[in-house]
Amino acid sequence: MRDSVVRRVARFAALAQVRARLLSYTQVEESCRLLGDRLARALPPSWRRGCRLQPLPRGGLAVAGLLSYALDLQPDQLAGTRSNASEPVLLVDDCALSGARLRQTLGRLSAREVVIATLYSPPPLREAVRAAEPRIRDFVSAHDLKDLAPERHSNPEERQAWRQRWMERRPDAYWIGLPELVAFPWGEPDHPVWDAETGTLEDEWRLFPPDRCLKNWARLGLPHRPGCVRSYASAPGVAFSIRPESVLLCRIEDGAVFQLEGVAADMWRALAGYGDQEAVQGHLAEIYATEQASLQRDLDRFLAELLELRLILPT
Amino acid sequence: MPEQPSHRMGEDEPKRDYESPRIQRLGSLGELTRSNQAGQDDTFMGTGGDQAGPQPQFGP
Repeated sequence: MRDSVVRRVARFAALAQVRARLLSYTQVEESCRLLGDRLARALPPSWRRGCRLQPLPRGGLAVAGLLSYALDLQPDQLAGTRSNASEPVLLVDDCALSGARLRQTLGRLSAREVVIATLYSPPPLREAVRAAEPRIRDFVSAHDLKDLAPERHSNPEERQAWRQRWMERRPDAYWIGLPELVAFPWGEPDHPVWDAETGTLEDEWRLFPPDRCLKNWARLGLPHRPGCVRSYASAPGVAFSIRPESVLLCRIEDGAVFQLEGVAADMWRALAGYGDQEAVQGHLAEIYATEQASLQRDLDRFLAELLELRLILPT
Repeated sequence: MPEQPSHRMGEDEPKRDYESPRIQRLGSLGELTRSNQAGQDDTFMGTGGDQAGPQPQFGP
């Protein structure tokens, strides 16, 4: 068991050094306006009026909806309401990091001309996609993501060997790099880590608080409880890994790692998910056979410890 | 990867035995990973995508 925990922690070690930021809905809306402006400059009005908008699930759906307003597109231009192989396609995603999902989607797309639009993507990826796919008319992004690979792998030969290893593991990628990590209010992108002992890709750590990232909230496995008033939240800068038997937390500022099991894991989930002491107590009373008085006493003490350790913060 | 329906805590489960919660401090990232190289310096930022799950499974 101890070895298993250490391996889970080890898989986080490299990830903890990567610059990461979480956008708000307001920032996303501003980025969609910027992306719309860039597309309007790059594409003539006739192209924009005649294209079909195709989002990549799931993050691309949120962006496509906002972008359709920013570009004043018609409802029937959204994918699913019409389909014609001769019309150009505007392929939309929140971010592109390796291009693997783009390649899968392009493989199923019969359109003769495609424009790709992202909120965030690394410039070398955009160049690689343009070079590999002749039918890509343009690849437009609101923002660039910096490739951190030259910093992390400063020796060019070592960097090339690292890229080669990953090209073999992910042959569907157009480009291998280490872009800055950006997350959205609806989801934190995948960031797999190679486990050399098992020879598999593992993607279990999340960097952003569940209350500010819907996909991470869903990972808590909590039922919705109406009427919650949030007083507490998982602290920014505390990463988490959820398994059925335990939760691991890492306070990134100093690398301190904590393990919660059983009731402790469920209490943390409920505190991070609901942020409301009354709701947390109600939820735990539904799943554990215990008296309210001892549950309340334990919850008070446990919450005080989490606050002291800066794993949970008051909102 | 097909999306699996998540199993949410408290749905159709018998109540579990209770024990007082405790926080286990395992150590620092550096200490814990010194003897285990899994994943170190081998991070890859993303499939560029959004896979569903792994969905947490709770309960007995």
